[in-house]
Amino acid sequence: MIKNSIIKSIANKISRLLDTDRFYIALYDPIKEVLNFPYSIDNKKIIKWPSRQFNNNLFPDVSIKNKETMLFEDNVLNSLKEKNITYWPHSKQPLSCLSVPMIAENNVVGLIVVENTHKSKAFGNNGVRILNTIARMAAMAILKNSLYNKLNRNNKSLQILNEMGLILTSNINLSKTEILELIYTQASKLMDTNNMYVALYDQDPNKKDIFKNKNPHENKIYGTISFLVAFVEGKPVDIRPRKAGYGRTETIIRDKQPILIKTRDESIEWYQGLNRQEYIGEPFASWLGVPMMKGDKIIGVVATYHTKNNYVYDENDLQILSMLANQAAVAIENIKSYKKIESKLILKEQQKNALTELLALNDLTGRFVHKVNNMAGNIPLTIEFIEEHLNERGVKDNVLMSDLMSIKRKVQNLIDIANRIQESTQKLENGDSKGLKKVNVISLLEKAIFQTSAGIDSKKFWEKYQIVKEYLDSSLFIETFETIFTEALSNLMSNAVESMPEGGILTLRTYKQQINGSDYAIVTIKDTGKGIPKNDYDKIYYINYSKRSGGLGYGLWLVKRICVATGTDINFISIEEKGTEFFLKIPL
Amino acid sequence: MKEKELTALVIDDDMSWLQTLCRLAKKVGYKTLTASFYNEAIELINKFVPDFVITDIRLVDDDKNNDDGLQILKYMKKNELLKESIIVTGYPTYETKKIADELGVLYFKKGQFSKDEFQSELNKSKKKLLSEQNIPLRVSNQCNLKCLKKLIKKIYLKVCHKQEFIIQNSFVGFSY
Repeated sequence: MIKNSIIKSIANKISRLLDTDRFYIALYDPIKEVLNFPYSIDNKKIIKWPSRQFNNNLFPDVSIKNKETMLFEDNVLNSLKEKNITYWPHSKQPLSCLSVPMIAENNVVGLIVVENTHKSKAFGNNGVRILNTIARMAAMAILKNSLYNKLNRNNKSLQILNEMGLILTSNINLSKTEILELIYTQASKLMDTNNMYVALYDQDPNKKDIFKNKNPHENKIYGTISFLVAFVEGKPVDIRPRKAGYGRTETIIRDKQPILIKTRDESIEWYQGLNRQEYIGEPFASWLGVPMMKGDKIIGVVATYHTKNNYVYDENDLQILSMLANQAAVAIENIKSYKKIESKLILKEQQKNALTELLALNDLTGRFVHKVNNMAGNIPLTIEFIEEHLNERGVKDNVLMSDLMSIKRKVQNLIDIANRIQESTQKLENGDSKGLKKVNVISLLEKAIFQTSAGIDSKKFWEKYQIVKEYLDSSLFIETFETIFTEALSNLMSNAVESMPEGGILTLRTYKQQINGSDYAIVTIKDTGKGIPKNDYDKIYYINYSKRSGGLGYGLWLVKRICVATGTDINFISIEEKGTEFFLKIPL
Repeated sequence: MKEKELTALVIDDDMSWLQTLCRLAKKVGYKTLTASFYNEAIELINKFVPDFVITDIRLVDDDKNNDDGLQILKYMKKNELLKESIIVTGYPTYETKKIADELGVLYFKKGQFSKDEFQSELNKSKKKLLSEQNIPLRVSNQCNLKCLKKLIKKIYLKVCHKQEFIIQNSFVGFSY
């Protein structure tokens, strides 16, 4: 904006030095090709003229076009007509008129037109000289002012960017929406953001987008666009997410390039291009959209528009909005990475705790079993000695013998249980003390099958059960505690087998799956056994849960603990009398 | 001919097990020595060079490595004193089982064997030991010097109950 003081000073000089009853100052915008009229006087009254499009065939526009002073002191209209020029404005015709362009450093910044509606030859050469001097001075003042404005705007832009950077770097816990709202707040300080939206783009997990850097027009996107921040006429609105189509937002995502539409005509023309669709119904007069880029990756679009006015946005707006958008993109991606690292750390901590717990359990059971074996382990042997002693002495006491046998059996049972617990937990320590190891999933499954078959009766196992192996990806390597993870798989297989006492099919599957952008190895263990009763779904990982007579009820509990310790998700589906399938989701 | 009496060293920190194992060994005909911890066992081994060793693994509660018994057997092996032995452990692990296998030692889990099973193994070992003792000292022409040194060391330790036996270089001049 030109300062009012400059305009007023020009007007004051004209009134004092020239014999005019109507004059106006016009400012020329070469980008928009528009004339603005900041000051017009008609018969001592200030009048307001709206901006209008520059027109080569109008007086005084010709004066700007040719950068020349035009003086008409007689029969103005005819003189103009001879030159094929139409007089403007279409009000009372002047008897004298003089138009002088305001030129600074060879650029036309506007013009001054003085008229006299009562008098011919009102200005003469003297008037031309005076107005030229005023116009030159005015042009310099306007140029200086516009340079000042430009500098001021640049400063403001820097300040806004700096502010945005400060907020983003000092608040690592900002939410995605808060960051996007920040774009709106900061952009509003510099440009018209009455209508604005920030859209984020999520790729379709099942259909990959095609980005050809050499031929961006051949790019194809299939994801979803969500409008996290949207304002219409200054008010926040909710816009439903939509599948990528052919609007301007999609074009920006596809091409990774901004779009600046300055006029309604341009807007209409844009939609006439190939593969473009207008969603609202009426092309907006001004539209500016920029991609949110982090490096080569596009994460969304920031767009702002004006429904009626042309030339609301320019290249400067594009530049500043791009910078804000990119800053936000980097912040969003950083927060994503931060959250990822944070959740990984939490997971690692959980794993560490679970592992420590398992190892402590191992140590505790080891000590306990050691005590049991030491204290009670020789009771059966002692009873055998007593038995032998009685036999040697020829003592036949059936009641005593039966009591002794009962004690022997019970102690033996106690020792068996203690040793089974220890056997199961001691595997947790052996071999895994060196930490995580990269292991092939199939080799783990094969070891677990071997362990399971050995735990039952190898020969019977292979006779009774059909093992179906669907190993869809042989190159899956996971980082895990090999022994304990094998123990978990083996426990699941043992459970599967035990649920099929009459025999059945044990199906083992492994494949790779991408979930939310991360790769996982999926392992499934399916049986055709009794299934898990619905009422037990919540209980199966409890320490006392067992459906097998003589079962100790720690198998699935241990599996769950091992899964936590190795960062594995475990789930199951089960149909009673049909079977159960366990799913393990292991991060790759 | 009267059967030579064999000596079994029984090592366990648990008194009731020590008694039970001694009883089992005596029933088979071994003369028994007992020890409850590592140093005591090493002393007896060096002094009496037992024919047979029955040992627990974890001899003290705070034995973090859980391997005192194994260390005793390793010591014997290193000093060529290990003949026949059995491990009886109340703290069985894969690691200790693996080492027992490497040493060629039988591995019993406390509370998981019967008197007959154990005595049958003791008998087998006894027979083996006796048959080895009855081998007449015959040195073939193919016997090399190393083999000969080993044999003499064995005899010397047995007869003299000495702890150490060093063959001087001059021994090379021995003629047969």
